[in-house]
Amino acid sequence: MASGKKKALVWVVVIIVAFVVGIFFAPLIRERAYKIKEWIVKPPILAPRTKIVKLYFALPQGEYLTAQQRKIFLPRSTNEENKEMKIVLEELIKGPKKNKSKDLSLTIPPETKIRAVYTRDGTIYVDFSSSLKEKHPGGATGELLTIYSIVNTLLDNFPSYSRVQILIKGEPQATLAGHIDIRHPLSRNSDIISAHPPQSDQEVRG
Amino acid sequence: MKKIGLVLVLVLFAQASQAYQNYSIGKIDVHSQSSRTQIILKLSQGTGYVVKDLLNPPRILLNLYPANLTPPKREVKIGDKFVKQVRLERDSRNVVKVVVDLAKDKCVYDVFLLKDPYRLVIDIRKPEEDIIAGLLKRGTEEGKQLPHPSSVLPHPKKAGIQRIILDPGHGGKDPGAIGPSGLKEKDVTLAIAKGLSALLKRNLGVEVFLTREDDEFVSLDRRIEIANQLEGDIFVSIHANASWNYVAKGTETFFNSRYIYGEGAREVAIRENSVAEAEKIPEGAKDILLDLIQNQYRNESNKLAHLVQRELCHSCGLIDRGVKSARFYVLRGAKMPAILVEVGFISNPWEEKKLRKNNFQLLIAKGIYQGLAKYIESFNKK
Repeated sequence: MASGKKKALVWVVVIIVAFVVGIFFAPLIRERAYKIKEWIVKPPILAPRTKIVKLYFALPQGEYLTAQQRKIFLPRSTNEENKEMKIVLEELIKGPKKNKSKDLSLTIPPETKIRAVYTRDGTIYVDFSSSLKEKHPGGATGELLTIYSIVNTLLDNFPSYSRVQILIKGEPQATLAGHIDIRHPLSRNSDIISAHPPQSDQEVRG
Repeated sequence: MKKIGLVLVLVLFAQASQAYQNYSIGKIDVHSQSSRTQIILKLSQGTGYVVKDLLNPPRILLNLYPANLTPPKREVKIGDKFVKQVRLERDSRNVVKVVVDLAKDKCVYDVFLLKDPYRLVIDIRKPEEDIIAGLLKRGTEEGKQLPHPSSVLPHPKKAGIQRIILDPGHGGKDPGAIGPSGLKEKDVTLAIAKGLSALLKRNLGVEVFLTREDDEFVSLDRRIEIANQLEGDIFVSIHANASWNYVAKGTETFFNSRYIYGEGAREVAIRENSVAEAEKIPEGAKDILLDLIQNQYRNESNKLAHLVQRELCHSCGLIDRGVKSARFYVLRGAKMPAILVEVGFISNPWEEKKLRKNNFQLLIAKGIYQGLAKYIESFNKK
């Protein structure tokens, strides 16, 4: 009888423990179940999104920029425009594809990082690391190329925006290297785009 | 139990830090002095800002991002020599608009962000008068006797071009562009400016002031301030160019325009001609008149740029890249015809070699001098 009572008590304790554990773990199990359902419903692998973008690089004499087309891969999770802009700029920083157009040069110090990109009222704000300023070779020509390769690349690939504000470490700058005023947002500059880029199928007209 | 406690503490901490991260603007301090007014906004985080100055009534407009303000509107009455009041308003999500209403329109201001703790400082002062005294003192050190500032200024209202401001680019901690073998732009620009100054004084008898006479750092704002306070008739900024590819070479001259580049330069010329024709506008159209004053400078700057570019290329023999326009910081604020000469490419090894030579620097000075002389001649004929 005593052992029967003991057994009953053990069972009661087991049930209570199971109940409490159940309360704690039920959400976890439910979440797992949802995930399983997602795996079943969604196709397992989606091809990464690709986009053909126009990137502006400098012609040798530095008087003009010309566009190079490039296919870029966007991670599937990237559906935000800001992230897409960041990827396009990172591609611009990588510089021109050498084998395809040996004469074009990059326009941004390769060490430069994009800290953030945000948009507001038709303006794209790009926040660069300090390398954009510190590693810049200087010269009004060098500065114009840097500024407008950034501005034109962004505005051509994201045509719903009309202006670009360059920031460094979150702050607007007077100039990059002492010449061109970049305190305010800048619009697209079509005069700096070459009307006669070197002809090859990799280049497109600006 | 201990673990749960730890988790709770972590959660609370995360929330507290999140609340702290809302970029709120705290206390506003005002320091009123007889020579300046400082407005200090305490911030919980660093913020980006865009500054604009506006007229009628004179005020400074700042947009802070990211920033927050609770309650969404705040006003601080100051009413001192420089500032009437400061108004803050939440503009939209994470953007706060700050308006500083100025008591008078002839003010100079600086805006800068300080760290530890984060604070944004708006510093408003009257244009420094001692700059002129300093420059004139330097003039006497050169051996030339100059009268007391008060008798030199205001600017003699004689017709013609009397006073030329030369601006040797960069200097001090800012070397400018550096050539492949180490030549510094700041040294080249200063040497050319000194040579040019001597030529102008000797041959044309005009007053010449340099925005810097030594290897010292002078901010772009201060260069403009110097030029405008001296009420110069012409502003010439001297630079050496650089680009991303070492093959880039040649001479180019820029003037300021919101239209950019070669095509734009042509556009400006066309537009300005049409404005000149529109000079018989009815009375009362003050806005248009103000535009005309601006355009007057731009038209003259364009003309000056073409003359200097032509003579300079002729004298030094480098490739002519032409006259271009862009938004140059140092030219934008100048209240006189203003150009910026990029004499040659210091990033090009061959041109760097030339730019290093005293003879070549003198050739450049001569070229710019001849351009200026032609311009002055045509101006005085008018």
